[in-house]
Amino acid sequence: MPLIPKVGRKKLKVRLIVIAVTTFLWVGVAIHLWPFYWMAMSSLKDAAEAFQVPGTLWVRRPSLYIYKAIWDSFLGKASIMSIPISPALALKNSLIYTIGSMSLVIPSAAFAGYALSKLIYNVTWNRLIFLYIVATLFVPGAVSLIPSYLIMQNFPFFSRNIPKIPFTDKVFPHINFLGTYWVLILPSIAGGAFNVLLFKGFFDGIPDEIINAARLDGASELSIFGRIVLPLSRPVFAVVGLGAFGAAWGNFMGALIYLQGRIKLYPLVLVIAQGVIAAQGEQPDPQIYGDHYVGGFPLMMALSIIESIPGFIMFIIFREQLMKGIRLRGFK
Amino acid sequence: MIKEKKGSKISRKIAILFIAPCLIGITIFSWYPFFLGFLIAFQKYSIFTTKWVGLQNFKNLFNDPMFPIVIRNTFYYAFLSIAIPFLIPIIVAILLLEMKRSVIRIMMILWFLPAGGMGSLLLLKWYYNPNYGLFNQILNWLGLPGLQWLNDPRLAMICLVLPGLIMYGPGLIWIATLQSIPDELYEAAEIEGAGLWTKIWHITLPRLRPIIAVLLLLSVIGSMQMFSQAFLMTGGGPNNATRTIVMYMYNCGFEMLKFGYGTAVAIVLFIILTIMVIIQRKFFKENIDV
Repeated sequence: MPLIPKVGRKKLKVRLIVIAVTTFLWVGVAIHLWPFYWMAMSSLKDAAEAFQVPGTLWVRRPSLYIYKAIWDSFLGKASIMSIPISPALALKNSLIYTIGSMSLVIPSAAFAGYALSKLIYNVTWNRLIFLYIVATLFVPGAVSLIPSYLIMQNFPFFSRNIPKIPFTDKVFPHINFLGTYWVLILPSIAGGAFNVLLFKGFFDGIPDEIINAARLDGASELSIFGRIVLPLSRPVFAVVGLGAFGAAWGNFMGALIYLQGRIKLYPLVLVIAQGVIAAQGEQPDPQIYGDHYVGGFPLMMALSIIESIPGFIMFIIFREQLMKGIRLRGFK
Repeated sequence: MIKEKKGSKISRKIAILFIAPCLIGITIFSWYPFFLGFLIAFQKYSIFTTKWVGLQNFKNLFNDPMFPIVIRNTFYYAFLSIAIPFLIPIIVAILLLEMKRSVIRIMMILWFLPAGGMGSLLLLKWYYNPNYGLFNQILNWLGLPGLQWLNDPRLAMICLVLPGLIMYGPGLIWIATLQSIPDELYEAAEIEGAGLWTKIWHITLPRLRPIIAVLLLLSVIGSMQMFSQAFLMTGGGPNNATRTIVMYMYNCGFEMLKFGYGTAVAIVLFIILTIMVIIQRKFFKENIDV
């Protein structure tokens, strides 16, 4: 409590300020959690109540029919006709993209951050590599969007005319990543400049003496990293891990561009995104569809709830570390 | 650490092994496509033909009636998103640290709970509906006339900034930086008789300055590339009021399949951003280390 003096807390003016600040912050928390609350409520409403104006704050006739339909499609008993891909497959795709890209991002960024912090002694090289990585932060990703898409077609060449190996008739080996899971996973190997920065900043805070002592004892660099550095730096792994999870799980733009028309590869976020585009506010006619129509707004809300569950799980796993990461006084 | 010369040969090999995945990844997936962009922008690159056309794409772009509109929209959105979703988390973080420790903890957990995501965009689009959206219901309830929200060209861009505001929370980095300021500074200032504003102005803000410099830059670069909200909620409408540069690039590149032209659009964005980065560097001379 640095700003508001401790001594004068009893004064009316100071007290009013404290009350105002507290209210402001709690209102902020409420606004932040509001969409989730409304989603949960809407996913439990039947079609008639979901489209009621004004909307009901608390669900009057809670019903799990949408979740039951999704569950049935998970078991393969029935399919949901209003979306192009079964929710189970979309969830599986999302998990593949996320796990795949997290297992590339985190080690790549951690190793690079460690090398920059503790292994590359040559100041010039260190600076050059650091700038080479960090400069990507200041380059708009928009420029490389179309080229990246073209590269993925005939990796690593960008044009349709693949050059021939000199003196032979064969073309250079190339891979078409479009239409495979790799298209969204492989680019994660770059690690991300911001993650490298976070790791480097954290490892800089670990004293060199600990590492040098282990080196004198004959420990290999890898075992120093695994046995000494890793246990000390769980908070930064939590921060980067959660960030990497969010980036991969919610990678809407990448999915939109690379997976055009390949419906079987759609992740959950793209299915919901299509629901957002389609949403015009029209109520599906209950005369035609019936009260328990699985589609439109309530279905999308249920899918959004399912989409946010892995985030919750990640957050619960990493919560303690994240809070420690905050207490760790800065990233410098 | 530079003094440690012994065993530097082995260490160099290990260092290369450690840095290699990241460097290879960044080379192939960041720099290679980036420089290819400059090649593709000078070509007529569509499904059937690949032809070097020199500056033709850029000439067409500057004669394109849509071009000034998308530039204006992009700057407008960047301005709005710096004015609201960038500044509010800083204020929230400063105020949050005034709370009791236990309250900070609970609030942080609630704020970092990943609530929403793609679903909240859908929810907002629903709320904006002029006929049965929540926002117009509130306005009616207050006795005010309803608004057209996303259908109103003057209002649509402001509506798109709102998701950023709902997702706001005190960023981890702000909290961490604020916590690194020693309490003694504030206590000393208090003894000197400094008030609330003096403390914020002379102790808090100078400490935040280097971080603000970095994140402001990244936030400008990010918001100049806004795509998702506009693509999902308005599709660029009404009357192109929310069509941004990146969205126009998407329209040209992936919908009309004019890859060369689309990349030329992106390169103009790159040039604009580079100029802005240089200007910003002139004002904030701090190191780029986070």
